[in-house]
Amino acid sequence: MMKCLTILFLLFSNILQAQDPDHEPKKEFDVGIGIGIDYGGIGARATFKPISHLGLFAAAGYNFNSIGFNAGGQWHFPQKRNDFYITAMYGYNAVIAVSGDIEDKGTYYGVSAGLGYELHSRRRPNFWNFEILVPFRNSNFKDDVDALKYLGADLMEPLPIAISIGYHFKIL
Amino acid sequence: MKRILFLLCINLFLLGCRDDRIELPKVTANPSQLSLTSDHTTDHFILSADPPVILEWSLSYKPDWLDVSPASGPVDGMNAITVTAKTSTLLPQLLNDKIVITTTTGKVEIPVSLNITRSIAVQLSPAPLLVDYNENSKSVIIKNNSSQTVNWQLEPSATYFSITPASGTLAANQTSTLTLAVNRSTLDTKIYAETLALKIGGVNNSTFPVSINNFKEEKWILDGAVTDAEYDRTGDNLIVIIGSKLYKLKPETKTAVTVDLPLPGTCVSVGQNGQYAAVGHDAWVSLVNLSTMTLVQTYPVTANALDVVLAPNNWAYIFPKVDQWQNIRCINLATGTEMLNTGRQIYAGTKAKLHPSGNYIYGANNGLSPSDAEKYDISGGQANFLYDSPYHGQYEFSGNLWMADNGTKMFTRGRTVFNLSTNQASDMTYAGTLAGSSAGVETLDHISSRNLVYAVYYDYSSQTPQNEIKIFSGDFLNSLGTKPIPGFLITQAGGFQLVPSEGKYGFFNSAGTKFFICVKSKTITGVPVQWAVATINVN
Repeated sequence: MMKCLTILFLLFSNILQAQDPDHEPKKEFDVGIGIGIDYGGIGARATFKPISHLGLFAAAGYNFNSIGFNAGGQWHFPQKRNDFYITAMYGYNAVIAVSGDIEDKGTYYGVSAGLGYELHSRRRPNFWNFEILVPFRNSNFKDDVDALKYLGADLMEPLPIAISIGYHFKIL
Repeated sequence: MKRILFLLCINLFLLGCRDDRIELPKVTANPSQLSLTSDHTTDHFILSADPPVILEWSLSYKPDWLDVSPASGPVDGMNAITVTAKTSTLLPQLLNDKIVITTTTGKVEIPVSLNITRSIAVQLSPAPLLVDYNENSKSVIIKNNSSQTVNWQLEPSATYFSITPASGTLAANQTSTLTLAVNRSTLDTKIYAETLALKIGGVNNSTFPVSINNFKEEKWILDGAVTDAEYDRTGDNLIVIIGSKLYKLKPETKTAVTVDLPLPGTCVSVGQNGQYAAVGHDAWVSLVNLSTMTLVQTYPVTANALDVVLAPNNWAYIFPKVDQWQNIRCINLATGTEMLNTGRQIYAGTKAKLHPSGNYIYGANNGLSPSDAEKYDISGGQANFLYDSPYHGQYEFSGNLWMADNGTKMFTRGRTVFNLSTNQASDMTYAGTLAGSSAGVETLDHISSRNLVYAVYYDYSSQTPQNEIKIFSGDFLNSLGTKPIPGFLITQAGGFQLVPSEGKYGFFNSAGTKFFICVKSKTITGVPVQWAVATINVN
């Protein structure tokens, strides 16, 4: 009980701190479109930076099977024009499509992590976004891949990394 | 409003973040659930895939009270997987659990229930419980194999046996020794199938079979093999030859008097007044005084005696055992002189009986085809061959014969019955047939005062006498039923064997109230043969 109260206190203290005008951070918000698991496949991603360095994002897109979701956080290391960050997210990170005797597709969710790079334009606030991600695929995915292999499906081993590219529009 | 939107987004995200797995071939179990009981502890299921592709399965979970065999294999829709409930330590209860099978494409859960209404956790040993012929009580161990304390109670299915103590309490894995006792005084020769009913906690649980082997000795065991026997209705004595002794037996009182013979006896004939008996030997014939049970004299005979007739004229007639065409040896017991019969010769092997008139002997030949019967006149002392039957193959005589006690009929081994007369035209004429098939007569007796014929048949297929008496009316030869001949209980190699009897020589007593029969135990390899006299009550 004491732990819960402590956590609640810390949460409220953060909120209160965020509302303190003396420490009001520079808030940023952008929306981007792109390709990659951090865009839900082919989709859009909205990123909110409540404080400097920290970005929180959510993405949804079409992953060639269904709507794929992803949400996570970023920790930025700003440069002059460029912006590097590390990112981690939870959401779809694998799709299996099989044809033949078994004709089906599946979407699998899990944690992905990686590095990102924002390439900002001199003239505009919009920027290009690139990420290289390591998807940690879950046991369902592994079981299904193993089963499909056992059943003789012609599968290509999924790459251990994923890349994404997107173009973002600065809103705030 | 913002909060609602935020929560909606979170929900949408969480719902959307569930794996939408690929649809792999689905494995199903048939039946999809199993219901086991105390009486149905084993069941089977079959795994099949849709579409029917070959997958592998393995057992990933089962409750401790189940065995699943095999534990892995191909999903082929054919091979049954056996599920067996391990009920040996479980008390009455209802258990529910599941079997989890992992296949190449997923898991299959098969719900399993086990309803134990009849627990086997409490056991009696030895099992099955057998009280053998020589046991009047035996120790029985009761054991509680469960992990709980049980209150037990045992109830015998009949009053002639008991279990002591009949109830108690057993802790987990505890045993107790009980005593099962049998009172055999009212039991017959039979294997009694009884039970001990077990109650656990006052509730009927199960029954344990109890076999009680009982043999009621109704015979008089004889000390040796009977070679021949005749009955003296005047003195109600059964006269038998066993080896080189002649026995005078009173079966009702089981008293016996013996007289030693100079040679092993081969045949015996009791005189009509019961005072004397003639005993045939190989080349001799002995005259025995049955009143004093003394050997009077032994006379030389020029034949090996197969059969002998002691006639009231104080002559003995010996029927040869060997050679072909022979003569009856007629021995004048007053002088010891041997004479041969006049008229036609007889064939060796002929069996003979004295006609109650005392003036004739009838014989049934052996070794000739067709079999026939003959008549000899002994009124003059020396036997004279009179004639044979008027038939030539129409009726079976089959080599032996028995007289009706009033001399009106002759019963033959071939089950045919013939009228007897002093007039040749009507002598040995057909008078009927005793019912039966594939059998001849082994022994027979007739008693006119009861109008009864008791016969034991000889089974042609097994080549052995039967173990039942066939009953016929004396006049119309109607079949009146059968009576079993009691068997033998023979000890062999520390065990017991019930062996059927074979009836050999049977006789009514003078009142016609008893039928005494010399019986032997059926010949079984490795089992000693016993002889006895059985007494059958005549209804």
